[in-house]
Amino acid sequence: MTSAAGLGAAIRAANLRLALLVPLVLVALGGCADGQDEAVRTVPLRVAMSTFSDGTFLPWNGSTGRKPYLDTIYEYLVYLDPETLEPRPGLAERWEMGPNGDRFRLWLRRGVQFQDGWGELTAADVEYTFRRMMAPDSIAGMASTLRFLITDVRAVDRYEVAIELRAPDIDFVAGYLSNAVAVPIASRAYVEAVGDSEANARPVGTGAFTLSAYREETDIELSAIDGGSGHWRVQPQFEALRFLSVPEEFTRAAMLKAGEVDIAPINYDSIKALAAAGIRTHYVAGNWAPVIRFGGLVEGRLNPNVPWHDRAVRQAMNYAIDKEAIVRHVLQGQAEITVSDFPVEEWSPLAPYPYDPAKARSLLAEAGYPDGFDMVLRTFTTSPGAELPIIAEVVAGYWRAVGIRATIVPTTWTSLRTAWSTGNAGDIAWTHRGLAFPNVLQGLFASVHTSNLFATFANAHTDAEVAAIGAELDRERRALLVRRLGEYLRDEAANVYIGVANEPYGISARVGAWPTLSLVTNVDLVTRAGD
Amino acid sequence: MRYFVLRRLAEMAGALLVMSLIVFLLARALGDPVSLLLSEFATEADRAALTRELGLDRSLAVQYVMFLLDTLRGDLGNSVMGARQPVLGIIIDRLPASLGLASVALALSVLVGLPLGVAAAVWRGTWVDTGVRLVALLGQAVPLFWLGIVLMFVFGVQLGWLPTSGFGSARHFVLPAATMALFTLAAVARLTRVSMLEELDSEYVRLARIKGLPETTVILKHALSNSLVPVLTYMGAFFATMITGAVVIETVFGWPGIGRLAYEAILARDFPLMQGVVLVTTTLFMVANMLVDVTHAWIDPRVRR
Repeated sequence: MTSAAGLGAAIRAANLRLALLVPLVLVALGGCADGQDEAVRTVPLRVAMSTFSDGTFLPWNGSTGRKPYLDTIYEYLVYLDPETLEPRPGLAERWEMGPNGDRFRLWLRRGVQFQDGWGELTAADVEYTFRRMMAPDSIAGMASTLRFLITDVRAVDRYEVAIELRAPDIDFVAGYLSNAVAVPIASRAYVEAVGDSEANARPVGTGAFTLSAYREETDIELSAIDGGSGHWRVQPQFEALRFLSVPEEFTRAAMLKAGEVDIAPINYDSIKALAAAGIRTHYVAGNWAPVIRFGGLVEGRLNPNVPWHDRAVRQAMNYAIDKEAIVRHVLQGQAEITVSDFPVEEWSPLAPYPYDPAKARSLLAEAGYPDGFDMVLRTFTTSPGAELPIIAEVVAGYWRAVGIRATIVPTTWTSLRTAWSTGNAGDIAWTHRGLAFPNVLQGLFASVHTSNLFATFANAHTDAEVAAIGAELDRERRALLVRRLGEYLRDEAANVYIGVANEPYGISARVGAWPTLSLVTNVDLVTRAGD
Repeated sequence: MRYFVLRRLAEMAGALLVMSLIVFLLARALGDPVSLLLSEFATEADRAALTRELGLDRSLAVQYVMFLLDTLRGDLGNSVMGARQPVLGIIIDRLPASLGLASVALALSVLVGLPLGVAAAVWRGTWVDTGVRLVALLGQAVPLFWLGIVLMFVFGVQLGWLPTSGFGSARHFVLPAATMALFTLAAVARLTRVSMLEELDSEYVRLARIKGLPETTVILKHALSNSLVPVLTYMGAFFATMITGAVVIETVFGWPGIGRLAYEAILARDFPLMQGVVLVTTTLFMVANMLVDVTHAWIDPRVRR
């Protein structure tokens, strides 16, 4: 009995010790977990880019390819509503358009401070930024357009800016002042004080992040000011961002699988393999349009010797292709078949060319090509657009079935761009990717205006239509004019249309939500998973 | 010896002059950077203005003379891209990454290739010899980009032992250096084997054996030391190639080196950067060759004639 009592006492004592010990252990583990959570939380959001583009940090000394990282340092006058695409107040609290659509007034938000104590954002900063953007030495992507469009920008008073345009544009605010373009506002005082070189090395904006480190073509590190709290526009959930330059898509996919990156652009054919590895895919909707463009169809640079000079041939080339099959098998269903060579909302309802090889053959015969013809189709890869060579192969196959014998010639985007802009692409066709424009007038001017070096189908009629669209101050009427031009371009088969596609990004398990729009991929809005 | 060195320096200067003309003309044959710098909204007026700004409206002869004079002053011009930084500065920034990678790859090649070559020669005709020759064959036949991707997948993704890509720590060197080293290692192993076989068949080695020296001494102290000359010559010349020709490896692994810089410059038609990279890398290559030649001449005076 004594032994049993002793054993029982021993057991009770042991239980008591355990009862005391277990909570202590749990607290310790919890502390470790908290510490681990803390460690995880301080790991930056890692975003892979195929290139940093210019790897520069002033609004006027590089292309729009820098937006992903510039948009965390600088801010915009307006921000597009992710649901409606309507402009919402940003650095500008409100704005007004003059009665003729060619003058705008903007009133700035008060109290927005530049980083590092460089003072409050004022109208002088807006005027300065625009003037630098439009200056002859500006290499910003928007420079040429702004020079063409804007006749004057001036600070009326401390918080009011006046902008005058050469021609009316009711979408000027959304099209040129929003976060969908690349005119972020820099500090005049800072740049003038330290000079461009220093300002580029240590950029100062009003955004939630500052540049911590930059290693050329390796990485860009940014850290949230005050840990991400207190900013007027965003409360970033990641205290640090790290952009990595990873040119090879396979490498980006490998990094996603290895947990080395959180967000990375991927190819469509990587989606399934990444899903099997637990990496989900986020799509930026309607971000690009695969298309085949024709040379020699711009008035003043016409080539009457190419078969597609005849509209019937161009239409035949559209009828010959099963676009649904391309969307399903090449783009993994992530595209809408349209007659847009760049995403245009007003063109979405237009009926596309159906797959009708019999009609294609009939049109070719009518046009004098009963046995088809030979042609060259140039193709290249780009980002987005890694699938363009595959699309070229598929399209060439469909064309071969109706007698069009296309020789696919791989090229580079740079070679093609040179030939295109110098008028030396008049006898070829090429695959291309049309990118979205925040203002449809921008896109129309780029693709169907005879004065533009990169137009592919343009004549006096399209010039007049573009001018009419620009001059129209009624939004509904303007939409009708845009649609009318779209119908004309479709009927003329100005391009071989495929559709408007969503751009895929691989996303790690650390990422919660990432609100994106076509052209807008602010990573400072990314949330943590589980938060 | 002094005359030999001066002669080699003069030959080098002449070769660089010819190379400068070749790269100048070839760069312009690719097309100009103006078309690439223009935005989608550009007009002819914009093209004309940018052409003037970049000095491309001048005749080729004038452009070449100005380029040559600037180069002699140490000014390789400014890149036409981005912040338009001085070309020499851009190259100097990127060179250490390439030098580091090439050095590690070369060290790997020697550390692995030499022993393999020696083993193949010593155990000639056995499975060791066959194995080494197979490794050498594969090493020189396998496409480097494929190998890089496989190594990345196995060690970076599946096993998670090493970073898949990037630059910044010692661990980042492993996969790209291993990829780069395979080709050189294969060549070193084959060269070492051939060279060792010749030495092992020589009379002084037979004499050393007759004298009763340990086989290890015969192989390592006598045969190997004499067989290193062709191997070192190859490595010296190939080192410069490793620095400049690693564009595929640098692209696959996201390595910020000279090879990738050259590729980007070509894609962007960045004339000053293209010219600068080619001239600097050519100079490196020639200096490496010259050092090997001078070393040879110093060791063997017959070479100086």
